[in-house]
Amino acid sequence: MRRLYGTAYTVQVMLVAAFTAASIVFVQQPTLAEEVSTSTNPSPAPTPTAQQADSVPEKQGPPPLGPNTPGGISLEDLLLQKGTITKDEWLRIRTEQEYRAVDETRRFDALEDWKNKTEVLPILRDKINFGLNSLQFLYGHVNAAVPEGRSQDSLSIRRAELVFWGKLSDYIPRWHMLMEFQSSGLTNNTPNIPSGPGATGTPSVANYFREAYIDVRPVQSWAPNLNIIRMGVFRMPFGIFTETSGGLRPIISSPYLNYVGGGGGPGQNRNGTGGAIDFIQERDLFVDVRGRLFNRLEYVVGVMNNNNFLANGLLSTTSGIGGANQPKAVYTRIRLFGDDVSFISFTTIQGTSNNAGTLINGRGKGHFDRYGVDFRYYPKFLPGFMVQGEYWQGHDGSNATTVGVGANGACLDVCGGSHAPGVNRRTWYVLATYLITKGPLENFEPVYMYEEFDPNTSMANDLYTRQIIGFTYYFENFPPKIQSKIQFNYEIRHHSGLGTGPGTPVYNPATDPFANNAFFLLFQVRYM
Amino acid sequence: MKILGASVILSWTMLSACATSYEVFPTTVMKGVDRHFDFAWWRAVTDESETKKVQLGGRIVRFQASDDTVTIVVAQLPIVEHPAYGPKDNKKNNGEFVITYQGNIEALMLQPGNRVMAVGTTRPWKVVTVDDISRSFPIVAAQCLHFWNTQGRDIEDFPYYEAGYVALRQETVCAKTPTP
Repeated sequence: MRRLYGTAYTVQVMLVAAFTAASIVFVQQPTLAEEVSTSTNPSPAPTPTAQQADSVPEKQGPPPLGPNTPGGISLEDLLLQKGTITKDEWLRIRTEQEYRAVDETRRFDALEDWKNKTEVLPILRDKINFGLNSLQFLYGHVNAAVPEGRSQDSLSIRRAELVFWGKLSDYIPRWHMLMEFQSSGLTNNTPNIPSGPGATGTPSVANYFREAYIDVRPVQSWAPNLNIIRMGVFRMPFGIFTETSGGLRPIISSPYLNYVGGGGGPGQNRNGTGGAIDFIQERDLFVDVRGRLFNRLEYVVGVMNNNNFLANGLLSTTSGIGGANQPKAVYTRIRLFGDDVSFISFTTIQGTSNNAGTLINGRGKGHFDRYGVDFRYYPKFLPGFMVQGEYWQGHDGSNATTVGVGANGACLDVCGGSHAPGVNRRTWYVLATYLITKGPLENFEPVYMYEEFDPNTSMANDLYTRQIIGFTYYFENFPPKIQSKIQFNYEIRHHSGLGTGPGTPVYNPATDPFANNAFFLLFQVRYM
Repeated sequence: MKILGASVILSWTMLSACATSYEVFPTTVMKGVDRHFDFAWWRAVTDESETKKVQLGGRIVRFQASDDTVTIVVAQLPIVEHPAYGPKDNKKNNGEFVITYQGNIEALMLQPGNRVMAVGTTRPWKVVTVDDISRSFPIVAAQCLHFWNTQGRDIEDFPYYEAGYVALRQETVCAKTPTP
């Protein structure tokens, strides 16, 4: 009897399995056919016909939630109708399906909610971005004699710059800020007191705030002919080096056209040849218009405060507002492109300068002008090779002073400062690099630079010269966004002296860092 | 004398700039290009067998270079003239297509995010594998390509790039033999 029951049960199970398998085959086969046809020739989903709608059998229970057969009945309904499963089993299946559907809906809603909140974040809509403009660790050695307690070797953070930017709209295509976190000290102001108490400046201006500007594009259809109006404090469009980010420079030191000289006081500058000289300031407060004509000719026309970026930290004694107002200077640059990256430019700056309250070394009172020619060439016949150069000349007013040393006037009335006459200055350099992209020296880039600075073109024996020989090795080189590298530069420096003629200060080259050789090793990361 | 010299140089500079008008592709390449090509319609009509000569632009999504063939998956972007000529991100998902090119292209120009413009012939949809990702795309067999090395930025962002001046590298390449 048991055997009969067992056999009958086995047959029953086999019949149910066969029936279930057959049902599954009949349900799945049309779907498989549609998938094959989709991959070769996608066509709209089949529309249910009247015949198909009429063929839907009567169902028992609530509308099906599970996968439907072409007749519109779910599998569990069919099994219930056939008696294959009990009502309790049908309810359990339906409950599980409903629970899964509710759970999926809840999870989908949570994802949707998170997506809606996240996609409006400013950082994901290009409104606010930030990046590491440059983080540089520097080791340097200068052969000059140093005071007691000091060393010829130095370890320092050369740059620690974070940059922030964003695009608010097509009409305000960029805002920008750059902070230099290694410069947390204060720069002295330059009093307009020529002598006596108070003639020396006091620490007044924090110098870690370097750049901040806003771009406005007033009419979209005017661009690129009239591309943007830029206002703020930023690297000025004077030549190539001045406008190149500190994180993208092929050499370690700043060129002489931006900074040269140092040490001593106004006494060293009696001929206008000594002391620190910032011939072309890197940054300033300005408003200018920029555009591109015929895809070949870029232009910039603007007006600047002509008192360095530090001026933003000083209040004007006359107006009470920021900007350390100085007589304004106008500037313009025209840059003609030979191809996408090779160009030649002409720049001029015109105005007057004033030594009272100046935050730029080497400025006197009087006419101020600069004329510059620069070029950069990437030959197509020699990929990886680049050569660039700049030539500048200009006039600085008389009684030039250094930052922090009080001065007032051109020495015709009150004085202070250096008592030096107005001078014409001249500087130029040529620089060449070659990036090796294949072979055992891949990612090495040898560099050579030669430059001269003549602080007073009407006087001999005052010339600065420098040769830089070095190389860069790139760990990552995807400019302008990414550049991690190590650089080595050896500098052969020479300084003739402080000029000739009566009253020329005594010159000791042993203590002049610009008259002694030096070498530097720099490690940089940059990621934006 | 200084003013005269400056004027001469300035005049020469202006004349030099005016001498050449801006063209991305040679005139001979642009002959026969369908100026009214509808990308959205072409992408929807997947069994279109008629070939057309078109100019399309976009942003590089990924690429694969093998032997002498370069396959580039591109997110289509409209080509505008303002504020700068070239493909511009309109913040919409316009769809993707594939460019095939017979020749070699510098790896720097193929980086994802760069802008690209192609002149070529449309081909029917095909399953394309790039970077081990297989998908079905409409194809453009490129005769010429022009790249802007924008690294994800828009063309108009150059050259006054964040913390300094950066000239935008561009390159035009043309195939010696057309892609089958």
